[in-house]
Parts: sequence; C-alpha cells; structure tokens
Amino acid sequence: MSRRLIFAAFAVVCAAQLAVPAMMIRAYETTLAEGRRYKVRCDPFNLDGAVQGRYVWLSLEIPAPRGYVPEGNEWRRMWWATLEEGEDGFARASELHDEPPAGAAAVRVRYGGQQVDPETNRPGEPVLRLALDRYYLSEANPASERASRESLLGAGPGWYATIRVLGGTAVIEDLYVAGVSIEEYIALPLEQRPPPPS
Amino acid sequence: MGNSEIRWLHRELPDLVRRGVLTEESAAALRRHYPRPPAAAARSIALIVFSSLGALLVGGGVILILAHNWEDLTRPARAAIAVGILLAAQGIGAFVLARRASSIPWREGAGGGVVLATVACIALVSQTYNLGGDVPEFLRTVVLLSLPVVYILDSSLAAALVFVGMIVFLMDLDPASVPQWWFWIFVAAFVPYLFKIARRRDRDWSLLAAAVSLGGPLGLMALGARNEAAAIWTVCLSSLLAAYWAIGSRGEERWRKPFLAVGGVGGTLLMIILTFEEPWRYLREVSTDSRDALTVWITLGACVAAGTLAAAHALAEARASRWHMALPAALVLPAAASWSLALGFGPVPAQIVMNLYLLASGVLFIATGLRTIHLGTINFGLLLVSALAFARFVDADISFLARGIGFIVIGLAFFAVNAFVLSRKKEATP
Repeated sequence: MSRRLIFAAFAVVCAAQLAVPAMMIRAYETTLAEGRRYKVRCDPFNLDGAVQGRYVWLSLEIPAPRGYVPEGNEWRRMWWATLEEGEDGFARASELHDEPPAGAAAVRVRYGGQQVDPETNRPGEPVLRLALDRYYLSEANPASERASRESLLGAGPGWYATIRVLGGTAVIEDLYVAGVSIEEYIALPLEQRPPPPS
Repeated sequence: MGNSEIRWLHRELPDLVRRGVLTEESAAALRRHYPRPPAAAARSIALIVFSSLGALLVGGGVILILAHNWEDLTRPARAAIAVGILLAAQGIGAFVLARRASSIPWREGAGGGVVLATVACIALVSQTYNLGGDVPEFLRTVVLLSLPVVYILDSSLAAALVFVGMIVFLMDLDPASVPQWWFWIFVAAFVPYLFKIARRRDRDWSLLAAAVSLGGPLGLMALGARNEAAAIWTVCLSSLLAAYWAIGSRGEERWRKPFLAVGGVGGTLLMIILTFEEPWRYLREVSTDSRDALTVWITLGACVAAGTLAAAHALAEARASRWHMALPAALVLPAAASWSLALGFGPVPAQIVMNLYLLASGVLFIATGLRTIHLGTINFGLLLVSALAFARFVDADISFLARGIGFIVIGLAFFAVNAFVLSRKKEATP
C-alpha cells in the first residue's frame, strides 16, 4: 500500500475517532442547555462511591404508563419512554415506544419490577428504570470519608436526580440529597447538613 | 524453527561435537542450514516490549494526574482535555507514519497509545456527562475505531488491546443493547491481521491458533450465557475442550500446542467443576423455538461437530490402548450423559458420573505413568485424584481432622510414588 494511501486512511480514522466524542459533547451540552428538566426519584446503591469520589450508582425509576401490564419476562426488554410530570412533581412515563419517537423527548428505559406499596406491603404499580445509572463525584477529603458515609446513610429516602431530555438524549444534571445538591451536601460541615425530609 | 530455538541449537552444537554425538561436518551443515539470527533481533524485541510498556505507563500516568485535578476543572475543560489526549496520540501516530514507519518499537508504542487514547477519551467524555454503564455499546464503539489502527500502524500491541476489547465485549454482551452479530464482524475484521503475522513468521500459525483456542471457549460461554443455548453449556463446553485436546494431541506441530494447553487445562478445570452439584441444579431442556433460535442451532451444530471430532479421536486412542489420552477426548460423553441424568433424576446421578470419570482419568494417568516410568504423567494423574479429593472435602460436611488426615495421606502418596519412580529410573539407567 502506498504511503499516501496509508496517510489518507490514517487521517480518515483519526477524523472518525475525533468525531465520536465531538458529537457526544455537542449532543450532551445542547441537551443540558435546551433540554426539558424532570425530577426523577432514585435510590443510591453504593454510598462508599459517593464519599470516595468515584460515582454513586443510582437506580432512577419512573412509574410506567397508566394501564401498562407487564407481559411475562420483561426484564431484558428495552423501550423508549416519553415523559410527563406527575402530580407530585416527579417524572412518569406517558407512553412506551419500540423506536425513538420522532420529534418527541424520550428516554431509554427497561422494566424495573413493581414497587412495593408501603401501606399494604403488596406489589404496587410497575416501574421503569432509566438507562442512566451513575453520577460521578469529585475526589473527597479522605479524613471526612467515614463521617460523610454515616451522614449520607442518615439522609433518608429523599434522594432524587434532575435530568434534561432533548429528543432521544437524556443527561443527569444533578443529584439531590435532602433537597440539596450532593456536592454541596458533602461539602457542608456535618452539623450544618439539612435533616432528612419527613 | 523460531529464533530462540535456533540460538539454542547453536549453543548446543559444540557440546554435541565434543561428546561425539555429531561430527564437525554435521555440525557445520546444521549451522549452514539454520544460520544464527542477528543479535539485533533479540535486542529489538526488548526494545519493543519496553517501548510498549513505556507507552502504557506514560498514558496511565497522564490520566492519573488529570484525575487528581479533575474536580477543579469545568465540564467544557474536562471534555477538551479528553479530546486533547486523543489528538496528542494521533499526532504521535502521524509522526511515526511520516518519519519512523520502519521502526517496530515506534509503531508498537504509537499503535498502543492511539488505542488507549481512544478508549480514555470516550470514557472521560462519558464520565463528564454521567452517562450510564452501557458497556457493550462503549466497547463496540472503541473496537470499531481501533481496528483500523491495527492495520495502519501494523502494531501487535494495538492488536492485543483490540483482542482483549473483543473478548470483554463478548463476555458482557447484552442482545437488548447491541446485536450479537457485531462480534462476528469484529472477528472477520481482526483475523486477517493474524494471517498477516503468520505469513511474516514463515507461516507460523501458533498466534492464530492461540487466539482461536482462547477465544473459542470464552465466546461459547458468553454467547451461550445470554440465550437458550445456556441450557446445554456443560455439553457444549465439554465438546469444544475435548475437540481442542484431540486437535492438540494429534501431532507435534507448533500450532497445535495452544489447543493442547487450553484443551488440557480447560478440560481438567471443567471436569472438576462438573463434580459439584451447582452446575446440575438449574438445568432445563433446550428450546429452539425462540428468538435466539439461530444462535441455538449454530451452537448445537458446533457442539455436535466438535463432539464428533473428539469422539473419533478418543476411539482411535482407545484402539491403540492409549486410554489415558482417550479419556480427555471423550469428555463430551460423560458430560452429555450427566446432563440427561440431571434433567430426569436431579443432580446426584450426574455428579456420580462425573466423579467416577475424573477418578478413572486420574487412575489411568497414574497407571500409564507407572508403566512407562514417566514422572510427569504420574504426577498429572495424582493431581487429578487430589483435585477430586479436595473437591469432595470442600463439598462434604467432614471434620477438619478427617480432612487433615486425608490431605496428609494424599501428600504422602505423592512423595511415595515419586520416590518409587525415581528409584526405578536410577536402576534403569546405567
């Protein structure tokens, strides 16, 4: 193969390698700037990740569309869900689609089981889990790790995330603990951290 | 013959002449036939290894330093740095193509650097925007972008990294996220490079054989784990490893050795695993009437072909009374029988069959080794029997005292048999 051809091939490959992250950056910056904002309840899995400056592993769940009945083994299936704001101010799915709906904001979801009704202790409405599952944090001060972990454990069930959705792209904007952004929460001295929501 | 073997031969020739094994003329003829490889060849290998290591360490160090200061950077700054790393690696790659294209160390370092920079760039952008852990999609992207670098920069380090990426992609494959056929596209794009290397090394196919022998079982387990073929993974894997043993033990060619190694080690491990209850507890019948039907049929077809090859080899070895070589090749038979028994009667009969098979294999190797006074064969047989005993000790509710006594007995058996064989060997040699 001639040198010119090799150079041309390398240039094409380099352009492709740069195009992928460039397109990702453009898509996500646009989504963060112009996308519609939704609040989504979440459960954190690994608080150690939060205090050690790795990432918090999240389970972002939204109620399935009204009238949705799971059929058989849905655990491996994925859909695109258009969102609406529920009465409680948190997002819920309005419709499910097999392909991204044209001209509508949608997020990738998979079946997340059924919530347990806390009053009756029986399976409640089905939920859908978003494909977004982590929030990266800054490197923490090791001296405050243990104190932060205990404080986060006591922060209660009031975790939620805000996401921005534009077209078929969704990005986590921020993560909230007891109504405060998690970065601010961890930065606060222990005695100043807000109590868990009632 | 490889360079290291030729150097060994040149070192041995003077001693062989001195002992009268070869004449001077024969030694000179051998030296002419196998000329000593240039010393630079050995030095350049070290240079390639260290330059590759250097590329990996420098790249890793840069990333760690950036990670330490990450929280002080804004999101656009983080994104810019991620892309900057990739641009720098590509710049080095362009320099190598322009000025150092004939230097292997430069090509290896640049190729590895570009691949790692691609992975790091996309991973950093994903982290910056808190993107989810869709590993198959991430790996598909990086493998696709890295494959051309293997050919353009002609870098084995890049090829090794891409191979690892392909295997991890296969192990983590989620058909709901990325279609399975992407893996076969990667294979079709990657294999020509292995042929290219083989032709460059005087048709030494051992690298291709190593890739196939390692990738085969991993691929089978990964593909099978995600769909209906998982129901017969025990039979499929045993037939594949038995076929590898058959291919590897049919001749002395170099390319057969990876198959013999993977078939031997993998088959032994599989035998031990199948003596436990766990693999037989959750079996079910295979359904070919599902959306995975094509994969199931391909898996079954490959299983039958491999099993037939292995069984034919086992029969040939049995006819020649080489029973210790026949049993590993026949692994698919007890595995298939155990699977059928487990479906109908539960895990215990299947366990009994596999335990007896492993015991028979160990005893045959020991017996053959004692007959031929071959220490390696005896010790391998003792290893199989010990592994069986250890597995049962771990599995069963036996007191520490009994386990301790059992291990001591086995250990003493090792010593006794080895001492006996060594004394027999001493008596046999004048």
